[in-house]
Amino acid sequence: MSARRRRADASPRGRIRATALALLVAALPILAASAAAQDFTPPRNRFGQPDFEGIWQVLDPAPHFDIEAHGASYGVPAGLGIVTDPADGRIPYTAAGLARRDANRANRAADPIARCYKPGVPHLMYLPFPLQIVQSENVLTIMSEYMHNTRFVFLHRGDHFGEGELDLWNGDSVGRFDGDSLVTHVFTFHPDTWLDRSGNHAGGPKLEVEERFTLVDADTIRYRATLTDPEDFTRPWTIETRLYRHKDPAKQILEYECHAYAENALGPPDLPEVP
Amino acid sequence: MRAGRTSSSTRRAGLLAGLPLLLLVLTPPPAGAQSVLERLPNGRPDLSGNWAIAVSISDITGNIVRVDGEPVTGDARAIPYTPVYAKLRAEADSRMFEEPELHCYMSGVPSHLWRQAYSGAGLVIQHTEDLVVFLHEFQGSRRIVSLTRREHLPADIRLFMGDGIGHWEGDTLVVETANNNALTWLDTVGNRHSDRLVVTERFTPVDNDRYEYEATFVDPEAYTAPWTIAAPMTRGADPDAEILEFACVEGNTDHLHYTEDVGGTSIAVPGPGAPANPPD
Repeated sequence: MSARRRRADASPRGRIRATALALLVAALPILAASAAAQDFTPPRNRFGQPDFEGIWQVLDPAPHFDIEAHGASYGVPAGLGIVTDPADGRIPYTAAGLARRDANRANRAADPIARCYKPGVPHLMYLPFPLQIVQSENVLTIMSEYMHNTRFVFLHRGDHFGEGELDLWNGDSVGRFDGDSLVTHVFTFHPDTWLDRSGNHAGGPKLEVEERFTLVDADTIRYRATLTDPEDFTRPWTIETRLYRHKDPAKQILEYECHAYAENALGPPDLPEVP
Repeated sequence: MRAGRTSSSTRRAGLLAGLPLLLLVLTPPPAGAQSVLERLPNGRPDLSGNWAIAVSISDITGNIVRVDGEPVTGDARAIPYTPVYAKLRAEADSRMFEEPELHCYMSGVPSHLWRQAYSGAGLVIQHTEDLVVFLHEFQGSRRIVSLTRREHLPADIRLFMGDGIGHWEGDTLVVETANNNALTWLDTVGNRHSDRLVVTERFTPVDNDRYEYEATFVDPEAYTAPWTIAAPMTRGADPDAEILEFACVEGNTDHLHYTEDVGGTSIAVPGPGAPANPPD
């Protein structure tokens, strides 16, 4: 540092500057921490999209069994529930929706998962199986290990297939990037999907699911899904959970071809005729 | 889906890079010229997009070009089966209860690449620097090929779609797929393989819209010699064609027709481990 600079720093203005600098330096870790917690900026891929590629999985298997808060039972770990709205954590069923839930609980053999069927959305996202995301310019693909279920989130169109014309177990997904988040709209569902293994359900031609994927840090996706269906639910409601990145470089998606391991045991399906 | 096209942001970056590149972008190729090969940021050819590979799903043997390294034509286009597998092939008509489609199995390697298309999408490839993902509507079959791993999975793991690992030889993508199970067929007429099958595929670009496809089959249990098929691979006409959901297990009672539970012909149910090969 030159003598001239030292003189300048000894001036009142220099002392003020130094004090401000010291305060700023002291505050930096706090600023950095708060930025990391609230404003993580995800890397962008070659298409300029926030980069969600990787192998992801929920850590908590409990929502797969029951998305509401529940105590443990044989083979079922206790869970705090992932319904964040309404605040009481309960699914806001209509009377008809609740009756269907109770009927499902009385007949768990009708659980689509027990028959190796596609799990539906959002259930696919919190299955106890890893899923891999790969992105192209116009499609984001989510590949679950469970029964090679593959979701295509189409980014090049905003409209769905005609209402009621298709009944897709995992729905028709269109998406867009809202800042650093992926926002999807999923529609035109098959009526028979369950949200978990305990009979909670959502499906059919009126169901709409809006999902929001947000990287809250490099290795964690905050996953939210809002479900709307005036026949089954009194109001839109929301679940929230986390998907964690598999960091073991050897991790890869394998196969769980459920039906192939139990073909003789599955028995005839117990489904209503779909027109 | 226009998986392979240059994004608008990439195009903008190209325009900013300078006048020579601008001229290159704006100058149309002369009529009849080959399309310029699109490449990934790492310089490798970009296979992203929709494709068709011209192999017959009804009989793979018509595409055989070499047996034991020697070129073959006409009637010499035959799979060099071992006696056990020649018998299985000859009995195919009476073993149709084993046909994988009836059981909603994924189609296996490599025939899933040219299964019949139910929509216009055909074969869809999503390609990154680390992965090549092959996707098809039929049975929702899917093969995730690693371009970074070098060793296959432990032999105890057998998969319908095998374990594919790829590498580059110049501009040729080479994919070796091992860890296959014995439950898939090579076509619908009943050509077979054991779970010792290793398929080595080569994707060699002619230009951006045309590749040469080749696959070599090595399986000491089923074949007496390596054999190779070849076919042209062409980019799909509708880049926005989408793969739809393929629900096969859902509501399906077909498989029950082939089980003793309903008086049908029994097929050995594959257990959680590796399905056994037919006995010698």
